[in-house]
Amino acid sequence: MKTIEVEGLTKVYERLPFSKDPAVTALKNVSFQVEQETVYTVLGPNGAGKTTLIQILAGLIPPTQGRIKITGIDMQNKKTISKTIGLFTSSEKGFWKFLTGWQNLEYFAALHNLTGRAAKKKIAELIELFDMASYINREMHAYSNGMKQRLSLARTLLHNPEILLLDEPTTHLDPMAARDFYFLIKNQLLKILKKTILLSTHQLEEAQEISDTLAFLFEGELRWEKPADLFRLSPGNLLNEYVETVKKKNECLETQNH
Amino acid sequence: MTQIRIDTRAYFSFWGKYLWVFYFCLIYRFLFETGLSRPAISLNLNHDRIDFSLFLISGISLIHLVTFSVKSIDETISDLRRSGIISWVLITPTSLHELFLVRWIWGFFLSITELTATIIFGRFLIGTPIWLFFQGSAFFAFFLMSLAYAGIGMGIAALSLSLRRGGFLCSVVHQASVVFGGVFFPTYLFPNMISFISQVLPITHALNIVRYALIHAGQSVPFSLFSPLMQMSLLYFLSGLWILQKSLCYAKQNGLLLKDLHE
Repeated sequence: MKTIEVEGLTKVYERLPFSKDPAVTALKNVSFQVEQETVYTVLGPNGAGKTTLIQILAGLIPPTQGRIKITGIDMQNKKTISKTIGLFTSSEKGFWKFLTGWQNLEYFAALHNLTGRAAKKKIAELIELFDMASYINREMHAYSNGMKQRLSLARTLLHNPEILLLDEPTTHLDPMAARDFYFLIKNQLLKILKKTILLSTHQLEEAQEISDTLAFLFEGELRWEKPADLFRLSPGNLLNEYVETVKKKNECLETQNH
Repeated sequence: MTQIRIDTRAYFSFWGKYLWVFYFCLIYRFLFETGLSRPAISLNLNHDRIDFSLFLISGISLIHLVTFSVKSIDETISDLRRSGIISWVLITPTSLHELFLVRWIWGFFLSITELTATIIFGRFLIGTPIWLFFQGSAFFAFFLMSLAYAGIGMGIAALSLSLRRGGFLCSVVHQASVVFGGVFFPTYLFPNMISFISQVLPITHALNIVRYALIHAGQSVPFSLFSPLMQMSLLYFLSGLWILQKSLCYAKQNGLLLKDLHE
Protein backbone atom coordinates (compact mmCIF):
# COMPACT_ATOMS: atom_id res chain seq x y z
CA MET A 1 0.00 0.00 0.00
CA LYS A 2 1.25 3.49 -0.90
CA THR A 3 1.48 5.67 2.21
CA ILE A 4 2.91 8.79 0.56
CA GLU A 5 2.16 9.71 -3.06
CA VAL A 6 3.78 12.83 -4.48
CA GLU A 7 3.05 13.96 -8.02
CA GLY A 8 4.57 16.89 -9.92
CA LEU A 9 5.57 18.79 -6.77
CA THR A 10 6.98 22.26 -7.41
CA LYS A 11 7.83 24.95 -4.90
CA VAL A 12 8.79 28.50 -5.79
CA TYR A 13 9.73 30.96 -3.05
CA GLU A 14 8.59 34.35 -4.30
CA ARG A 15 10.79 37.42 -4.17
CA LEU A 16 9.94 39.16 -0.91
CA PRO A 17 9.06 42.84 -0.78
CA PHE A 18 12.08 45.06 0.02
CA SER A 19 14.42 42.11 -0.60
CA LYS A 20 17.20 41.89 -3.16
CA ASP A 21 17.04 38.09 -3.25
CA PRO A 22 15.39 36.78 -6.44
CA ALA A 23 12.60 34.19 -6.51
CA VAL A 24 13.94 30.67 -5.89
CA THR A 25 12.61 27.41 -7.30
CA ALA A 26 13.31 24.95 -4.50
CA LEU A 27 11.56 21.94 -6.03
CA LYS A 28 10.92 21.14 -9.70
CA ASN A 29 8.27 18.62 -10.65
CA VAL A 30 9.17 16.03 -8.00
CA SER A 31 7.23 12.75 -8.06
CA PHE A 32 7.69 9.63 -5.94
CA GLN A 33 5.82 7.10 -3.82
CA VAL A 34 6.59 5.57 -0.45
CA GLU A 35 5.32 2.11 0.50
CA GLN A 36 3.86 1.36 3.94
CA GLU A 37 6.32 0.40 6.72
CA THR A 38 9.38 1.17 4.62
CA VAL A 39 12.19 3.72 4.86
CA TYR A 40 12.53 6.13 1.94
CA THR A 41 15.71 8.16 2.16
CA VAL A 42 16.32 11.39 0.29
CA LEU A 43 19.98 12.21 -0.25
CA GLY A 44 21.48 15.31 -1.75
CA PRO A 45 23.89 18.17 -1.10
CA ASN A 46 22.99 21.27 0.92
CA GLY A 47 20.39 23.42 -0.81
CA ALA A 48 19.06 20.51 -2.87
CA GLY A 49 15.50 21.01 -1.58
CA LYS A 50 15.34 18.19 1.00
CA THR A 51 14.11 20.38 3.87
CA THR A 52 11.58 22.12 1.62
CA LEU A 53 10.25 18.72 0.55
CA ILE A 54 9.84 17.60 4.16
CA GLN A 55 8.28 20.91 5.21
CA ILE A 56 5.72 20.60 2.42
CA LEU A 57 4.93 17.00 3.35
CA ALA A 58 4.48 18.07 6.98
CA GLY A 59 2.07 20.80 5.89
CA LEU A 60 4.32 23.60 7.15
CA ILE A 61 4.46 25.33 3.77
CA PRO A 62 2.12 24.88 0.83
CA PRO A 63 3.42 23.69 -2.54
CA THR A 64 3.23 25.99 -5.57
CA GLN A 65 2.11 23.12 -7.77
CA GLY A 66 1.56 19.38 -7.52
CA ARG A 67 -0.49 16.85 -5.61
CA ILE A 68 0.29 15.00 -2.40
CA LYS A 69 -1.68 12.13 -0.95
CA ILE A 70 -1.00 10.84 2.55
CA THR A 71 -2.51 7.41 3.23
CA GLY A 72 -4.74 8.02 0.23
CA ILE A 73 -6.07 11.33 1.60
CA ASP A 74 -5.43 14.61 -0.16
CA MET A 75 -2.91 16.78 1.69
CA GLN A 76 -5.35 19.71 1.88
CA ASN A 77 -7.25 17.93 4.66
CA LYS A 78 -5.06 19.42 7.41
CA LYS A 79 -6.73 17.88 10.45
CA THR A 80 -6.33 14.32 9.18
CA ILE A 81 -2.77 14.99 8.04
CA SER A 82 -1.68 16.37 11.41
CA LYS A 83 -2.82 13.12 13.02
CA THR A 84 -1.00 10.96 10.48
CA ILE A 85 2.34 12.77 10.24
CA GLY A 86 5.10 13.21 12.79
CA LEU A 87 7.91 15.64 12.03
CA PHE A 88 11.42 15.41 13.38
CA THR A 89 13.93 18.14 12.60
CA SER A 90 17.44 18.18 13.89
CA SER A 91 17.71 21.41 15.76
CA GLU A 92 19.34 22.41 19.01
CA LYS A 93 16.27 24.56 19.58
CA GLY A 94 12.62 23.56 19.64
CA PHE A 95 12.01 23.12 23.37
CA TRP A 96 11.15 25.44 26.24
CA LYS A 97 14.50 25.57 28.02
CA PHE A 98 13.07 26.48 31.41
CA LEU A 99 10.83 23.37 31.49
CA THR A 100 11.87 19.79 32.22
CA GLY A 101 11.77 17.12 29.53
CA TRP A 102 8.53 15.76 30.99
CA GLN A 103 6.89 19.19 31.08
CA ASN A 104 7.93 19.81 27.48
CA LEU A 105 6.34 16.54 26.42
CA GLU A 106 3.16 17.48 28.32
CA TYR A 107 3.08 20.85 26.50
CA PHE A 108 3.41 19.26 23.05
CA ALA A 109 0.92 16.53 23.95
CA ALA A 110 -1.59 19.27 24.84
CA LEU A 111 -1.03 20.85 21.41
CA HIS A 112 -2.09 17.49 19.98
CA ASN A 113 -5.19 17.62 22.23
CA LEU A 114 -3.76 14.86 24.41
CA THR A 115 -4.20 15.77 28.07
CA GLY A 116 -4.69 14.25 31.52
CA ARG A 117 -4.19 10.55 32.13
CA ALA A 118 -3.96 9.67 28.44
CA ALA A 119 -1.06 12.12 28.01
CA LYS A 120 0.75 10.87 31.13
CA LYS A 121 0.39 7.25 30.00
CA LYS A 122 1.70 8.00 26.51
CA ILE A 123 4.65 10.03 27.85
CA ALA A 124 5.56 7.25 30.31
CA GLU A 125 5.48 4.72 27.45
CA LEU A 126 7.80 6.81 25.30
CA ILE A 127 10.21 7.46 28.18
CA GLU A 128 10.51 3.72 28.65
CA LEU A 129 10.86 3.06 24.93
CA PHE A 130 13.69 5.56 24.51
CA ASP A 131 15.27 4.94 27.93
CA MET A 132 15.01 8.55 29.13
CA ALA A 133 13.93 7.97 32.76
CA SER A 134 17.26 9.08 34.26
CA TYR A 135 17.05 12.64 32.88
CA ILE A 136 13.39 13.31 32.02
CA ASN A 137 12.85 15.48 35.12
CA ARG A 138 15.88 17.67 34.46
CA GLU A 139 15.44 21.14 32.96
CA MET A 140 16.11 21.26 29.22
CA HIS A 141 19.18 23.48 29.35
CA ALA A 142 21.05 20.62 31.07
CA TYR A 143 20.40 18.21 28.17
CA SER A 144 23.12 17.03 25.79
CA ASN A 145 22.41 16.95 22.05
CA GLY A 146 21.90 13.18 22.18
CA MET A 147 19.33 13.54 24.97
CA LYS A 148 17.55 16.28 23.04
CA GLN A 149 17.37 14.06 19.95
CA ARG A 150 15.75 11.25 21.94
CA LEU A 151 13.30 13.64 23.54
CA SER A 152 12.57 15.12 20.15
CA LEU A 153 11.86 11.69 18.75
CA ALA A 154 9.54 10.98 21.69
CA ARG A 155 7.74 14.26 20.94
CA THR A 156 7.32 13.20 17.31
CA LEU A 157 5.57 10.02 18.46
CA LEU A 158 3.24 11.60 21.05
CA HIS A 159 0.19 11.49 18.79
CA ASN A 160 1.14 8.06 17.42
CA PRO A 161 1.58 9.12 13.77
CA GLU A 162 1.71 6.55 11.01
CA ILE A 163 4.36 8.40 9.01
CA LEU A 164 7.56 9.93 10.33
CA LEU A 165 9.41 12.66 8.47
CA LEU A 166 12.98 12.87 9.73
CA ASP A 167 14.94 15.86 8.46
CA GLU A 168 18.70 15.33 8.87
CA PRO A 169 18.20 13.77 12.31
CA THR A 170 21.89 13.32 13.16
CA THR A 171 23.27 16.75 12.16
CA HIS A 172 24.29 17.84 15.66
CA LEU A 173 25.42 14.41 16.87
CA ASP A 174 28.92 12.93 17.12
CA PRO A 175 29.49 9.72 15.09
CA MET A 176 28.79 7.42 18.05
CA ALA A 177 25.58 9.21 18.99
CA ALA A 178 24.55 9.26 15.32
CA ARG A 179 25.10 5.51 15.09
CA ASP A 180 23.02 4.98 18.26
CA PHE A 181 20.29 7.13 16.79
CA TYR A 182 20.11 5.04 13.62
CA PHE A 183 19.94 1.88 15.73
CA LEU A 184 17.04 3.51 17.55
CA ILE A 185 15.26 4.15 14.24
CA LYS A 186 15.93 0.62 13.02
CA ASN A 187 15.01 -1.23 16.22
CA GLN A 188 12.30 0.87 17.84
CA LEU A 189 10.59 2.74 15.03
CA LEU A 190 10.74 0.09 12.34
CA LYS A 191 10.71 -3.25 14.12
CA ILE A 192 8.53 -2.43 17.15
CA LEU A 193 6.34 0.51 16.08
CA LYS A 194 6.21 -0.36 12.34
CA LYS A 195 6.26 3.22 11.07
CA THR A 196 6.67 4.48 7.52
CA ILE A 197 9.70 6.76 7.42
CA LEU A 198 10.83 9.46 5.02
CA LEU A 199 14.34 10.45 5.94
CA SER A 200 16.72 13.09 4.63
CA THR A 201 20.37 12.75 5.53
CA HIS A 202 24.00 13.20 4.56
CA GLN A 203 25.08 9.96 6.31
CA LEU A 204 25.43 7.60 3.34
CA GLU A 205 26.53 4.52 5.25
CA GLU A 206 23.64 4.60 7.71
CA ALA A 207 21.20 5.55 4.96
CA GLN A 208 21.96 2.48 2.86
CA GLU A 209 21.85 0.30 5.97
CA ILE A 210 18.37 1.20 7.19
CA SER A 211 16.61 2.32 3.97
CA ASP A 212 14.46 0.40 1.54
CA THR A 213 14.66 3.03 -1.19
CA LEU A 214 17.25 5.72 -1.82
CA ALA A 215 16.53 8.85 -3.84
CA PHE A 216 18.83 11.65 -4.90
CA LEU A 217 17.58 15.22 -4.93
CA PHE A 218 19.76 17.83 -6.58
CA GLU A 219 18.87 21.43 -7.38
CA GLY A 220 15.23 20.72 -6.68
CA GLU A 221 15.02 17.77 -9.08
CA LEU A 222 14.75 14.11 -8.21
CA ARG A 223 17.72 12.72 -10.19
CA TRP A 224 17.38 9.04 -9.35
CA GLU A 225 15.52 6.59 -7.14
CA LYS A 226 16.96 3.13 -6.49
CA PRO A 227 16.44 0.21 -4.09
CA ALA A 228 18.96 0.37 -1.21
CA ASP A 229 19.76 -3.34 -1.70
CA LEU A 230 21.62 -2.39 -4.86
CA PHE A 231 24.18 -0.44 -2.84
CA ARG A 232 24.35 -2.76 0.16
CA LEU A 233 25.90 -5.52 -1.98
CA SER A 234 28.86 -3.37 -3.04
CA PRO A 235 29.97 -0.87 -0.39
CA GLY A 236 31.31 2.40 -1.75
CA ASN A 237 28.96 2.39 -4.74
CA LEU A 238 26.59 4.87 -3.14
CA LEU A 239 29.33 7.44 -2.60
CA ASN A 240 30.45 6.99 -6.23
CA GLU A 241 26.89 7.42 -7.49
CA TYR A 242 26.49 10.53 -5.29
CA VAL A 243 29.69 12.13 -6.57
CA GLU A 244 28.97 11.21 -10.19
CA THR A 245 25.52 12.84 -10.10
CA VAL A 246 26.89 16.11 -8.71
CA LYS A 247 29.90 16.00 -11.07
CA LYS A 248 27.75 15.46 -14.15
CA LYS A 249 25.80 18.62 -13.42
CA ASN A 250 28.97 20.63 -12.79
CA GLU A 251 30.49 19.40 -16.10
CA CYS A 252 27.33 20.42 -17.96
CA LEU A 253 27.58 23.89 -16.45
CA GLU A 254 31.27 24.20 -17.37
CA THR A 255 30.55 23.18 -21.00
CA GLN A 256 27.76 25.76 -21.17
CA ASN A 257 30.10 28.46 -19.82
CA HIS A 258 32.81 27.65 -22.38
CA MET B 1 27.21 54.91 1.03
CA THR B 2 27.11 52.05 3.54
CA GLN B 3 28.50 54.36 6.22
CA ILE B 4 25.77 56.94 5.51
CA ARG B 5 23.20 54.20 5.85
CA ILE B 6 24.71 53.07 9.18
CA ASP B 7 24.86 56.68 10.44
CA THR B 8 21.26 57.34 9.41
CA ARG B 9 20.15 54.18 11.18
CA ALA B 10 22.05 55.21 14.31
CA TYR B 11 20.54 58.69 14.13
CA PHE B 12 17.01 57.36 13.94
CA SER B 13 17.66 54.95 16.81
CA PHE B 14 17.65 58.04 19.03
CA TRP B 15 14.05 58.94 18.16
CA GLY B 16 12.89 57.70 21.56
CA LYS B 17 15.17 60.16 23.36
CA TYR B 18 13.78 63.12 21.41
CA LEU B 19 10.29 61.96 22.23
CA TRP B 20 11.16 61.75 25.90
CA VAL B 21 12.58 65.30 25.89
CA PHE B 22 9.30 66.54 24.42
CA TYR B 23 7.39 64.49 26.93
CA PHE B 24 9.24 65.94 29.91
CA CYS B 25 8.79 69.45 28.55
CA LEU B 26 5.05 68.87 28.53
CA ILE B 27 5.14 67.45 32.07
CA TYR B 28 7.12 70.44 33.29
CA ARG B 29 4.68 72.78 31.60
CA PHE B 30 1.77 71.04 33.23
CA LEU B 31 3.36 70.91 36.66
CA PHE B 32 4.26 74.56 36.34
CA GLU B 33 0.64 75.36 35.51
CA THR B 34 -0.78 73.38 38.38
CA GLY B 35 1.86 74.70 40.76
CA LEU B 36 2.41 71.26 42.29
CA SER B 37 -0.47 71.92 44.64
CA ARG B 38 -2.70 68.87 43.92
CA PRO B 39 -5.53 71.03 42.59
CA ALA B 40 -8.61 69.79 40.82
CA ILE B 41 -7.97 69.48 37.09
CA SER B 42 -10.39 70.33 34.35
CA LEU B 43 -11.03 67.45 31.96
CA ASN B 44 -13.02 69.43 29.45
CA LEU B 45 -15.78 66.85 29.90
CA ASN B 46 -18.87 68.84 30.79
CA HIS B 47 -16.49 71.13 32.76
CA ASP B 48 -15.86 68.32 35.23
CA ARG B 49 -12.90 68.64 37.53
CA ILE B 50 -10.94 65.77 39.04
CA ASP B 51 -8.45 65.60 41.90
CA PHE B 52 -4.86 65.50 40.59
CA SER B 53 -3.99 62.31 42.51
CA LEU B 54 -6.99 60.45 41.03
CA PHE B 55 -6.12 61.84 37.61
CA LEU B 56 -2.55 60.56 37.92
CA ILE B 57 -3.35 57.11 39.32
CA SER B 58 -6.04 56.45 36.69
CA GLY B 59 -3.52 57.34 33.94
CA ILE B 60 -0.68 55.24 35.31
CA SER B 61 -2.88 52.22 35.97
CA LEU B 62 -4.17 52.08 32.39
CA ILE B 63 -0.66 52.10 30.94
CA HIS B 64 -0.14 48.52 32.18
CA LEU B 65 -3.00 47.38 29.96
CA VAL B 66 -1.55 49.17 26.94
CA THR B 67 1.86 47.52 27.36
CA PHE B 68 0.52 43.97 27.48
CA SER B 69 -2.17 44.43 24.80
CA VAL B 70 0.19 45.84 22.19
CA LYS B 71 2.99 43.35 22.80
CA SER B 72 1.17 40.10 23.52
CA ILE B 73 0.65 38.85 19.93
CA ASP B 74 4.03 39.99 18.60
CA GLU B 75 5.80 38.48 21.61
CA THR B 76 3.97 35.17 21.21
CA ILE B 77 5.08 34.86 17.59
CA SER B 78 8.62 36.04 18.39
CA ASP B 79 8.99 33.60 21.30
CA LEU B 80 7.78 30.70 19.17
CA ARG B 81 10.16 31.63 16.35
CA ARG B 82 13.15 32.34 18.59
CA SER B 83 12.74 29.07 20.47
CA GLY B 84 12.27 27.13 17.22
CA ILE B 85 8.99 25.72 18.53
CA ILE B 86 6.87 27.27 15.77
CA SER B 87 7.34 24.37 13.34
CA TRP B 88 6.18 21.93 16.02
CA VAL B 89 3.15 24.06 16.75
CA LEU B 90 2.19 24.43 13.09
CA ILE B 91 1.92 20.67 12.54
CA THR B 92 -0.43 20.13 15.48
CA PRO B 93 -4.21 20.56 15.31
CA THR B 94 -3.84 23.57 17.66
CA SER B 95 -3.97 26.82 15.68
CA LEU B 96 -1.74 29.82 16.34
CA HIS B 97 -4.87 31.86 17.08
CA GLU B 98 -5.66 29.60 20.03
CA LEU B 99 -2.18 30.28 21.44
CA PHE B 100 -2.63 34.02 20.87
CA LEU B 101 -5.95 33.95 22.71
CA VAL B 102 -4.53 32.01 25.67
CA ARG B 103 -1.55 34.37 25.90
CA TRP B 104 -3.84 37.42 25.62
CA ILE B 105 -6.18 36.19 28.38
CA TRP B 106 -3.21 35.40 30.64
CA GLY B 107 -1.64 38.80 29.88
CA PHE B 108 -4.97 40.56 30.55
CA PHE B 109 -5.20 38.83 33.91
CA LEU B 110 -1.62 39.79 34.82
CA SER B 111 -2.06 43.40 33.78
CA ILE B 112 -5.32 43.65 35.77
CA THR B 113 -3.32 42.52 38.82
CA GLU B 114 -0.71 45.21 38.03
CA LEU B 115 -3.48 47.77 37.62
CA THR B 116 -4.95 46.73 40.98
CA ALA B 117 -1.52 47.01 42.60
CA THR B 118 -1.14 50.55 41.23
CA ILE B 119 -4.52 51.52 42.67
CA ILE B 120 -3.59 50.01 46.06
CA PHE B 121 -0.20 51.79 46.04
CA GLY B 122 -2.05 54.99 45.13
CA ARG B 123 -4.19 54.52 48.24
CA PHE B 124 -1.19 54.16 50.54
CA LEU B 125 1.11 56.71 48.92
CA ILE B 126 -1.16 59.58 47.90
CA GLY B 127 -4.45 58.65 49.50
CA THR B 128 -6.63 57.92 46.44
CA PRO B 129 -9.76 55.94 47.37
CA ILE B 130 -9.69 52.33 46.10
CA TRP B 131 -13.41 51.68 45.88
CA LEU B 132 -13.93 54.39 43.25
CA PHE B 133 -12.06 52.30 40.67
CA PHE B 134 -14.18 49.18 41.11
CA GLN B 135 -17.03 50.17 38.81
CA GLY B 136 -18.52 48.21 35.93
CA SER B 137 -18.05 51.07 33.47
CA ALA B 138 -14.34 51.32 34.35
CA PHE B 139 -13.83 47.58 33.80
CA PHE B 140 -15.72 47.72 30.52
CA ALA B 141 -13.46 50.58 29.42
CA PHE B 142 -10.37 48.52 30.40
CA PHE B 143 -11.64 45.63 28.31
CA LEU B 144 -12.53 47.73 25.25
CA MET B 145 -9.18 49.51 25.38
CA SER B 146 -7.28 46.21 25.62
CA LEU B 147 -9.22 44.93 22.62
CA ALA B 148 -8.35 48.03 20.58
CA TYR B 149 -4.66 47.82 21.48
CA ALA B 150 -4.67 44.07 20.76
CA GLY B 151 -5.84 45.02 17.26
CA ILE B 152 -2.95 47.47 16.90
CA GLY B 153 -0.62 44.78 18.29
CA MET B 154 -1.87 42.30 15.69
CA GLY B 155 -1.15 44.80 12.92
CA ILE B 156 2.37 45.26 14.27
CA ALA B 157 2.88 41.49 14.59
CA ALA B 158 1.80 41.16 10.96
CA LEU B 159 4.43 43.69 9.92
CA SER B 160 7.10 41.94 11.98
CA LEU B 161 6.31 38.70 10.15
CA SER B 162 6.85 40.15 6.71
CA LEU B 163 9.40 42.89 7.31
CA ARG B 164 11.16 41.22 10.26
CA ARG B 165 11.80 44.62 11.86
CA GLY B 166 8.35 45.71 12.98
CA GLY B 167 8.88 45.01 16.69
CA PHE B 168 10.04 48.53 17.56
CA LEU B 169 6.58 49.78 16.51
CA CYS B 170 5.23 48.29 19.76
CA SER B 171 7.39 50.75 21.70
CA VAL B 172 6.32 53.60 19.42
CA VAL B 173 2.63 52.93 20.09
CA HIS B 174 3.27 52.46 23.79
CA GLN B 175 5.23 55.66 24.17
CA ALA B 176 2.83 57.63 21.99
CA SER B 177 0.02 56.44 24.27
CA VAL B 178 1.92 57.57 27.35
CA VAL B 179 2.76 60.96 25.90
CA PHE B 180 -0.33 61.82 23.87
CA GLY B 181 -3.02 59.74 25.58
CA GLY B 182 -3.69 62.06 28.48
CA VAL B 183 -1.95 59.89 31.05
CA PHE B 184 -0.12 62.66 32.88
CA PHE B 185 -1.88 65.77 31.60
CA PRO B 186 -5.26 66.55 30.05
CA THR B 187 -5.35 66.27 26.28
CA TYR B 188 -6.85 69.75 25.80
CA LEU B 189 -3.41 71.17 26.58
CA PHE B 190 -2.12 69.84 23.27
CA PRO B 191 -1.99 71.91 20.10
CA ASN B 192 -4.50 70.90 17.38
CA MET B 193 -2.05 68.76 15.42
CA ILE B 194 -1.19 66.63 18.46
CA SER B 195 -4.72 66.44 19.75
CA PHE B 196 -5.55 64.60 16.51
CA ILE B 197 -3.03 61.91 17.52
CA SER B 198 -4.53 61.68 20.97
CA GLN B 199 -8.02 61.26 19.48
CA VAL B 200 -7.00 58.16 17.53
CA LEU B 201 -5.42 56.55 20.59
CA PRO B 202 -7.84 54.25 22.48
CA ILE B 203 -6.30 55.16 25.85
CA THR B 204 -7.54 58.77 25.51
CA HIS B 205 -11.16 57.62 25.32
CA ALA B 206 -10.72 54.92 27.97
CA LEU B 207 -9.30 57.53 30.36
CA ASN B 208 -12.23 59.84 29.64
CA ILE B 209 -14.63 57.05 30.68
CA VAL B 210 -12.65 56.00 33.75
CA ARG B 211 -12.19 59.58 34.95
CA TYR B 212 -15.84 60.39 34.37
CA ALA B 213 -16.75 57.29 36.41
CA LEU B 214 -14.34 58.40 39.16
CA ILE B 215 -15.91 61.88 39.34
CA HIS B 216 -19.53 60.68 39.17
CA ALA B 217 -19.20 57.55 41.30
CA GLY B 218 -22.37 55.47 41.25
CA GLN B 219 -23.82 57.23 38.17
CA SER B 220 -23.89 55.63 34.74
CA VAL B 221 -21.41 56.90 32.16
CA PRO B 222 -23.13 58.50 29.14
CA PHE B 223 -23.09 56.42 25.95
CA SER B 224 -21.51 59.32 24.05
CA LEU B 225 -18.29 58.66 26.01
CA PHE B 226 -18.36 54.92 25.30
CA SER B 227 -19.27 55.24 21.65
CA PRO B 228 -15.84 56.34 20.23
CA LEU B 229 -14.00 53.65 22.21
CA MET B 230 -16.45 50.96 21.12
CA GLN B 231 -16.12 51.94 17.47
CA MET B 232 -12.35 52.13 17.78
CA SER B 233 -12.13 48.71 19.48
CA LEU B 234 -14.25 47.12 16.78
CA LEU B 235 -12.35 48.78 13.94
CA TYR B 236 -8.83 48.22 15.31
CA PHE B 237 -9.50 44.67 16.45
CA LEU B 238 -11.17 43.47 13.25
CA SER B 239 -8.71 45.18 10.93
CA GLY B 240 -5.77 43.94 13.04
CA LEU B 241 -7.13 40.40 12.90
CA TRP B 242 -7.62 40.62 9.13
CA ILE B 243 -4.12 41.98 8.52
CA LEU B 244 -2.56 39.35 10.79
CA GLN B 245 -4.48 36.58 9.05
CA LYS B 246 -3.29 37.77 5.61
CA SER B 247 0.25 38.16 6.86
CA LEU B 248 0.30 34.69 8.43
CA CYS B 249 -0.89 33.18 5.14
CA TYR B 250 1.81 35.09 3.24
CA ALA B 251 4.50 34.11 5.76
CA LYS B 252 3.43 30.48 5.62
CA GLN B 253 3.40 30.52 1.82
CA ASN B 254 7.00 31.78 1.73
CA GLY B 255 8.35 29.85 4.70
CA LEU B 256 8.97 33.09 6.65
CA LEU B 257 7.46 31.70 9.85
CA LEU B 258 10.05 28.95 9.97
CA LYS B 259 13.03 31.23 9.50
CA ASP B 260 15.23 31.96 12.48
CA LEU B 261 14.72 35.51 13.75
CA HIS B 262 18.47 36.05 13.85
CA GLU B 263 19.06 35.01 10.23
